[in-house]
Amino acid sequence: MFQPDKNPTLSSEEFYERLTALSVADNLRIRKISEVWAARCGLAPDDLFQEAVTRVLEGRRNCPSRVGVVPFLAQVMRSLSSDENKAKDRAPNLLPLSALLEAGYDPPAASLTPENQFNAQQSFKELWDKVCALFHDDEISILILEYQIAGYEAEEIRKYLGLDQTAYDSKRRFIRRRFDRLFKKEGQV
Amino acid sequence: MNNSNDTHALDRICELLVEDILLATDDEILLEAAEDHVKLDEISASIQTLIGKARLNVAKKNLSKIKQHQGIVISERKRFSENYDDAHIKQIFDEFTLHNKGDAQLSIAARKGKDLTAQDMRSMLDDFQELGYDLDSFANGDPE
Repeated sequence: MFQPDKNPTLSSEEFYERLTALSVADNLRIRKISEVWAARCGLAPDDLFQEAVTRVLEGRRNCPSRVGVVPFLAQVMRSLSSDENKAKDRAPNLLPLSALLEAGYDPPAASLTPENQFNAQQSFKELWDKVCALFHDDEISILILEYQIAGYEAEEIRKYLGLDQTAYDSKRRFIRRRFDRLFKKEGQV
Repeated sequence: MNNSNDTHALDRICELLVEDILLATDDEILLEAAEDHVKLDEISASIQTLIGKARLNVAKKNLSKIKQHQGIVISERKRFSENYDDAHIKQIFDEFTLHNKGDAQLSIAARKGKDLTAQDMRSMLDDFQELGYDLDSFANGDPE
């Protein structure tokens, strides 16, 4: 008996056709998303996006037909950014762990290698200093980011902070626009 | 603050930003672009150019694979004569010349009428194989 594929994926040609038919707003979304993940890993946004498209057209990544090409490419770029970060062999700046612990930081899981753990702590400390400076005038934004980093879902964050959907959406937009300006100023998170 | 064990803090912040971009309406995205003095035509052209470049790169890679594959096929086919002993080669050669008199005679003429050695026959059969003749059928004793 014929069993339809429960998770059909787009062929390379179908994916390409959808890409070339994107709206102006979707092109802008792609640009913004590539800027976010590029800022995260240090690649150029254009290079990151082109590599993501290449992977899909080569068939190394398959886009489910029920998923939009923009969110799918966002996920591919996220993955590429993560791979790029893992591949980097950055020499960490030395900073005592005790200082991080005093700041209330919970060390990552023991499953991480000591080097990864150390790098994660460094990145987190640097990031958090930047975030606090960026949102020094907005405590709610800092709380949203704290919950977000801790792994909470949007619904939970709204509930804990007593925000309705509109207020949360508005605050999330506010956060992004501030980060937009930071990216434009510094080019990297 | 609890720290997620499997997700980096920076990634979590980027996820929030990307989520916001994906959830924004078209009008909101276009309004932002206007606020940022973004040239819409340039962005769209740039994105579509990158898509075109990616497609071109993939096409080049595919073509390279095809060429490489064809090269392997040809090199494998060149080894055709190596699979048979001299007696078998002569048998295949005789069968082939019988069925392809014109082409075979031309090649034999190119040897200036010299007696053909087993090595000559091997060399000629390999040449015919490369030219696209199906010699397997002669080897199997079943020429069309």
